Amino acid sequence: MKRASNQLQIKDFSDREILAVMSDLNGSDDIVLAGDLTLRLFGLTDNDDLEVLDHAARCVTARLAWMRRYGLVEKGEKKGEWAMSEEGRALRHTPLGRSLSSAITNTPAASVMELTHQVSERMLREGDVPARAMRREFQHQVARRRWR
Amino acid sequence: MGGMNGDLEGIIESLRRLHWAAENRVSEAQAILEQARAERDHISRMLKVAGVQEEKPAKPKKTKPGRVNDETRARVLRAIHNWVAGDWAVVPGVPHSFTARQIGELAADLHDSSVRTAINNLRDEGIVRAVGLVPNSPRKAPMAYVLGEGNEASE
Repeated sequence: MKRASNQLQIKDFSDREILAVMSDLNGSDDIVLAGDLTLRLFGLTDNDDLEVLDHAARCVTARLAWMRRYGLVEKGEKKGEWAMSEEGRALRHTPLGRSLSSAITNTPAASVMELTHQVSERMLREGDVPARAMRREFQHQVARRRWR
Repeated sequence: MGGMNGDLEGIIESLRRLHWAAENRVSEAQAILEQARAERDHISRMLKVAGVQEEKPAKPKKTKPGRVNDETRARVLRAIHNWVAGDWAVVPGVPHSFTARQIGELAADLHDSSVRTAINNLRDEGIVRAVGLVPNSPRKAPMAYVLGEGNEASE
């Protein structure tokens, strides 16, 4: 069965990437249909096996439900409609300044523990939604990387 | 003709008997092997309890290299920019989307696995982002990526 075993875990796609795909898909009203997101993320078409489509849609809806709980997305008025929350949109679209990005990239290896300490300390000071978003992004990176 | 049939039947019957005998020998050998293994495991356990037998050192786990060198990374990034400049897309409706295969074709002198690793690294760094699996793929669908926006594309 094609792709029926696929899931949508944090290691597969980060919340940040899912928000970006929602941005790709949404129209002028910022609404994204869970069905459209399913087809995009799983590379499916309407002609695919119904069971496969159902499974994939369940995965996407479950993930969106979690992201709603984390405050990144919210439900639309109609069934199957989703949109980025205000905070989700801000987190997705507010870039990190180039100088700060460069400073982090160039942090010497001996300072990374201190860097992590400061980042995690900042996480504790943030509100619920940004703090969870930080934690989830960190989880994604940890889950994806092959630690040696 | 009747005699020939009789001969053939006799040969087949002999072969059947031989086959049956061979199967019997296989069964007996398997039983002996299982018994020997059970005895060996039993003695191993006894030795282990007595603290005599040393455990075999675990083989070092083979790890795939998770990083590519800076030159490979730069070449893959250049190939991605060339793909974008070519205005191609592998996922309909997602401009400039690509898979590791297309980038591998543009950076033909690099090994496919190096290209995949480099793209994974670029994803980790936020330079590219995953947009979903490629539709209508005959087998395992490859992941499609695009260059990120803002800071993601700053390199």
